[in-house]
Amino acid sequence: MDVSSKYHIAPAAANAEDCPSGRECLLVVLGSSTYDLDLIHAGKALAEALYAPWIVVDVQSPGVNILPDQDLDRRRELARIAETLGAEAVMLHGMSGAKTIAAYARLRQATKVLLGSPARLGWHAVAQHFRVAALKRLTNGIEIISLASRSHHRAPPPGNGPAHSRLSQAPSRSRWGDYVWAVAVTALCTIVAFPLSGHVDLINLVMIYLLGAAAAGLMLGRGPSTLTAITNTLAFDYFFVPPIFSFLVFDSTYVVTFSAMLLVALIIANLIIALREQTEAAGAREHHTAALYAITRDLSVARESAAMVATAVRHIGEALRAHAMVLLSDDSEQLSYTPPPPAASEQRPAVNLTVAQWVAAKRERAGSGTRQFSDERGRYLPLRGSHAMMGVLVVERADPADVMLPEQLRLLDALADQLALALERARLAEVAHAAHLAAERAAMRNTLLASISHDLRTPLSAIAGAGSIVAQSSFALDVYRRVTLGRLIEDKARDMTDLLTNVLELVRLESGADILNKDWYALSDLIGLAVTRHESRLTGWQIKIDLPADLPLLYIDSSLIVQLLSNLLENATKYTPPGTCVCLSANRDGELIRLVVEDSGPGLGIEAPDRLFEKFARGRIEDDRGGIGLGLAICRAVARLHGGDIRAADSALGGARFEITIPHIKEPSAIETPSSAA
Amino acid sequence: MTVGMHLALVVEDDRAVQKVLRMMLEANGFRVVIAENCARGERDARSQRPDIAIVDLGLPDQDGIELIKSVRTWSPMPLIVLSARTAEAQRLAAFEAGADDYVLKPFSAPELLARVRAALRRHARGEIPSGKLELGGLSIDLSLRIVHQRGGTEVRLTPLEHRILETLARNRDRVVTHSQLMKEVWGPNRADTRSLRVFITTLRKKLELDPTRPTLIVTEPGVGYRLVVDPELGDAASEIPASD
Repeated sequence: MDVSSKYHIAPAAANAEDCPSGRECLLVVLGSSTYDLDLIHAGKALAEALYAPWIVVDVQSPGVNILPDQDLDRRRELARIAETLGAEAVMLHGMSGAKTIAAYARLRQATKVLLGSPARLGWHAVAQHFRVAALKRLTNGIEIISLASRSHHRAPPPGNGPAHSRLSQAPSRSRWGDYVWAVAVTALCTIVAFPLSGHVDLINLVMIYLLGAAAAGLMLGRGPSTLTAITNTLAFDYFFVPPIFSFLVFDSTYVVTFSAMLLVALIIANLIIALREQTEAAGAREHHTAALYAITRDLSVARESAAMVATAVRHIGEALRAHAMVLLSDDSEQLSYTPPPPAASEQRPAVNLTVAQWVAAKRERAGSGTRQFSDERGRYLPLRGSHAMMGVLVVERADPADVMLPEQLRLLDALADQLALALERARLAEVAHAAHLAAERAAMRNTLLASISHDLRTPLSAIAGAGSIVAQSSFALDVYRRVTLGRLIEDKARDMTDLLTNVLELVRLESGADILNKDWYALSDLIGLAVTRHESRLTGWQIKIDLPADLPLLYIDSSLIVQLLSNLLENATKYTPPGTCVCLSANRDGELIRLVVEDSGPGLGIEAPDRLFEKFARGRIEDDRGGIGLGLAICRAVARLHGGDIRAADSALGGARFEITIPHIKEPSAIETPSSAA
Repeated sequence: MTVGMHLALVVEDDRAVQKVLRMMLEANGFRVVIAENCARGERDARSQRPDIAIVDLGLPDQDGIELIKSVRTWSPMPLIVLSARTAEAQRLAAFEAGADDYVLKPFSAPELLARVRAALRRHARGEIPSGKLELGGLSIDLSLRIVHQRGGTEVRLTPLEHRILETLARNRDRVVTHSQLMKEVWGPNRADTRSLRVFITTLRKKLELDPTRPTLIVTEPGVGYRLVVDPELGDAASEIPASD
């Protein structure tokens, strides 16, 4: 259908140079006339000629629409058609149509406003004339285009699609029952007024009818209210004005009464209806605001994408009676589609991946009610973050016959925006977290390098120095000095070996791989091993081993547990003076085996002892007692690999107390014990 | 220590370590042959008939374990592994291939020397002639399953304890791996390390001066047990798993 050919576009249409920003924006203002649809098509043609975005505005203002020819359903349908054609449909509420439009035009920085102008003279023409005049006055610099229909037919143009056929059906959906009610109101007024006739002045009976008109306005639509106003006047004439039971009037002054009565009834009904509509609109806006507020609040609480998606899906389900699903984009903006679990599949829309990918790529809406893929059942909305595509939202009404109203679509858009922002927030949080981790790793690496380089260089310099002295033949060292130097070289090399072993061991332990080589061991055996290993170093310390006889075998990695114990013993020799009592004890506490290494030394002397188990941590800063604070980190790694933990505290003996807990795995029953085998 | 002029074969690819080992051994009355890979080591072992071999594991042509396995097919000579590999599994593999001892790099010369001498003594000593064993003040009569303690009091062993002790005694000063021990004591396919732990614990209670710090039946974590007879080995043995 060639729509544009049917119109004169009043002033010369497309001169884009007028717009200072170089960007045109067209505002199409729907009037209250029956050719609004033509206006929309003309707007589309003009917008396409200008390559401009266009907005279709419908103003609901009681001031303009005195005559009750408005049907909310029809207006919603128009807005829907406008959206289908690519416009943004907006419903504005305001007392003064011109002011509202002007304010909105400025808000959206519209460069052109397109208005309909009725070809036939009449109430609309007058109203429109005033509106255009007011608009021109109010909108300085915005071009106002009045559009007159060339063809004089006022009926909607023949439908060219399902949308149009739906439009033509719209009036038939008005409730005929309401008109019956309208007549019933008149009948009721008459029944009430009739017994009063003769007792009160006739003019007071008019009040009863006006009351009826007001009631009709309160309960019924514009059409029925108008009918009530007319039938009221007729009934008053017929039943009360002499001659009674006749439409004839003897006293011509009653014509004034009738006119005033009709006019007042119409005005009252209209005002009440306008008030009601405004209340309803406010209620709807309130509903939308509440829905938006609810989703914003819930999204702000959610921290992870999955929770956000679940929240959005739930809210869309509640607010729009629709099933929703979100396909998230990954960092490379590829949509990831996880097939729904079978239980929830009926609650989800059927997703056409092609459409979803199109939407993600073009960042435009598609599917039902849009220009693209309009035969899809679902509506596909891009989730646009401020920087990247976050994904695609697919929404499908629970009842396929149920059409989304423009305000619902806008609510949906707003929800989608909220979701997109929330998802972006989550993604940014993830990125920030990753960056934080990376920074922490870098800091850790630097500490490690600094510590290792210090702890390797120090013994190396001693070794190199001692070696160079021994190698120098002119020094003629005596045996004692040579032995001292040789021992120094050996000791320092051993320190370096220990350090290297610790670093490698920690790396291995923290690799998280399944490195445990578990078997059944008697703890006494391993403690003995650890103590004998440090025999030479422990001379001078009193070692007490206190193990209950019934301590069960433990399912552990022996060499790691021995190492844990060795590290604790080594620490004891490093940080307590000789003569200190070091006590190793163990007990079983239900499902836990508790292993305690404590001493009567000077104690830890720090506030947060658990910090000791962190890498490169040392109780006292700047300590020349060797080691780079890996020993306890290894202890913790070992304990944790066994599903347990290690804690540091002050001991009852006066010194430090290290408590290792390891969950006890029950031995399978059938083992040979010495008594049974003997 | 009179060892005569023992011939030691060193299979090691690192020049510096070769030099240190040569100095150490020659200063202690050994003659030294050095081979830098497995193939040379095998050839020298066959042609020179060394009294002892010190074998590195990471060799350029083959793993040292292969050399040990190969030598074990034709010679009972003492083989000592000298390696930087600390993992239990690798130590276990070396022992199971037939190594007599395992010394970790970096090594201390006195310790390695002690191990070398102990291995030579053990090799020279052969089987326990009379079935009687004197260790740590204990006198063990393997045929009678009776242990006499220092004061002369008798300690009776259960048949299984006795079999464990006998197995350890036959391989005294050598590591007996868990699987070897269990196979000897319980027979094949009856492996249960938990029973072994329990028996070792009771055995220690009967034999050791301080069962919490055993000096006779020494644990080699992840590998097995060793009955320490050689007094020179006593101290050194505790240093074996020097992985701290």
